[in-house]
Amino acid sequence: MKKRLLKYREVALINIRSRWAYFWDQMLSSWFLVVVLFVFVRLWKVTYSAGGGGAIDGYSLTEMIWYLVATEALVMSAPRVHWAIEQEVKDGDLAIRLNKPYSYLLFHFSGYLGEGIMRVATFALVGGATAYLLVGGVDFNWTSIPGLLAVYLTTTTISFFYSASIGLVAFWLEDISGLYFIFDKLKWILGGLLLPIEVYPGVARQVAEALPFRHMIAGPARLFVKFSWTDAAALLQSQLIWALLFGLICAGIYRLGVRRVDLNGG
Amino acid sequence: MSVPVIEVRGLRKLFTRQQKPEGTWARFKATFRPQTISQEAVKSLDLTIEKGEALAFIGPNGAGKSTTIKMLTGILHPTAGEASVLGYTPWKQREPLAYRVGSVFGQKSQLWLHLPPVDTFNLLARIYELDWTAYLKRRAELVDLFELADLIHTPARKLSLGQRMRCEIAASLLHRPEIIFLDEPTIGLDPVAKAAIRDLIRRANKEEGVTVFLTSHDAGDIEQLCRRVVIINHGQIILDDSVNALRRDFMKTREIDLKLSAPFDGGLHLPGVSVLKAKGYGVKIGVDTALTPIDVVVGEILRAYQVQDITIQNPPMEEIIAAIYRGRSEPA
Repeated sequence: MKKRLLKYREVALINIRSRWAYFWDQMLSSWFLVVVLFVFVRLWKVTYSAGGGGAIDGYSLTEMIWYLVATEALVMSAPRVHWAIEQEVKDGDLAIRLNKPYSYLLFHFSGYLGEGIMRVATFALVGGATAYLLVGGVDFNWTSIPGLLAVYLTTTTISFFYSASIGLVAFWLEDISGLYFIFDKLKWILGGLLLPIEVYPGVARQVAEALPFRHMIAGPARLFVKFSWTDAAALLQSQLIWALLFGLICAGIYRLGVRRVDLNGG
Repeated sequence: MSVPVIEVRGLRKLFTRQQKPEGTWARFKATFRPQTISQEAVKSLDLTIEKGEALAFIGPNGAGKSTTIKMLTGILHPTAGEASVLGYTPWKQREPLAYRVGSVFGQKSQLWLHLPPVDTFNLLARIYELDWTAYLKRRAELVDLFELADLIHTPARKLSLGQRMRCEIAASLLHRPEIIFLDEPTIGLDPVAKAAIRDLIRRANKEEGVTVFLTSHDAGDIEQLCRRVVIINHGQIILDDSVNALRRDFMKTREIDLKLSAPFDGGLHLPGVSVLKAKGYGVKIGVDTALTPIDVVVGEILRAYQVQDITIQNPPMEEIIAAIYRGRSEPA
């Protein structure tokens, strides 16, 4: 069992090392987040001053900007596993993945986690520094770190199964970029990328709360700015249910798809 | 006593392809009613390979070589038939089988391109669940054998194709596989690198007793590495014999490309030797080695001419296959 776990840990570590080789490229790409935050700080300042400067649905201006830092860091740092799987199916690189003694999905999951940790750290660093300079710091409770790390792990698990399931559709479709575009934007809109779900109007809020997307974006971001152990436990519980469901869907697609592998030629 | 490690009976693989018709309207209609065609990549293959054998599984492009390897390593599910590799059904027991076999795909890399090969080796040691001390000893052995000391700490993308292939083969041997599947390991390599790779494969087979299953369309790989050859064409085995028999019956010809210091005068009169093409300083000569051995011809050329460059080529695979078909249709 220990040896089985060690192999997936090593996959995560090699992905961290591989990302590290491009540290400065990644730092450079994270400057896009600076631009996004700058624009949104301007917009929210106008909105808040028009509303008299009070909180909007429980969020102060500072909390709203730090919420955005958290959602953008989560979304922008997500590795493109759907694309990696699509390329492996298209180019036949699946042959060098499937000839090793590991689970194909766990191999990709470990890589996703390793690369994701490197990327989210960069985006959080750049985004956090920008937000601090523009609106100041948020009231952060350092004892919440273990809870936030646990939520990050479940959030990453759901996001992985979500993206990998779309990627695995490449066993049937030649190109999954259109499909991914739809599902990704659905996740952004209903997951609360730009606005907390609490701000959504009536029915939209009910829909967003009923769907799983908020567990990948809004849920962990809200916890980051307004942490409580009760909310963390509730979120973890519902995230685990969604992770299990998405995991079963993903494994089902893989089992059906791998029988269809069509890698003829050298 | 011979022990079969691979047994294949009636193995078949059918691929279904979507056809894209010509013309805008036809293409539009095909979006809703796709037209498909079936292509039989492997047709009822029967094969037994003994432990420690070095088998060349050869054929032209599209013959079904890679498809067969992918079925035998559990990557592809066959349409019909049975296969047993070390007692496992590959496509049903892919993971346990993977611990005991290795594979190298000449056109695909298992090395992490941005990292040095040593990182991939360490990863593979974990993936194959090797004892760390035993792994380090094995790695040292392979580094020594494959002369990798200067390479394993350089990012893989900065290595030449030949250097990378040496690392690929070493990576596939780390877990001491009982069978190694090599899918065109010398493709794209220069003659020096090819010779080095062949030497490494030969040593793995001879010194470590690894069963070698090699696909290639380079006749040199077969002659220098294997004792048995299976030729596949259009998904069917057309010849299963010893390499010596293949050489004797179907690889009798060689082509010699020469670049001379002076224009060729046509004065090379040996039995079975014919000038295929001569232009200025360049000349291409065909040799039937059954009538005059290649060393005699080369000796004669070097004695009679001042040679700037010389290349000796095996007959192309297509020619060998054509000769096999000719041999079958002609009465003995």
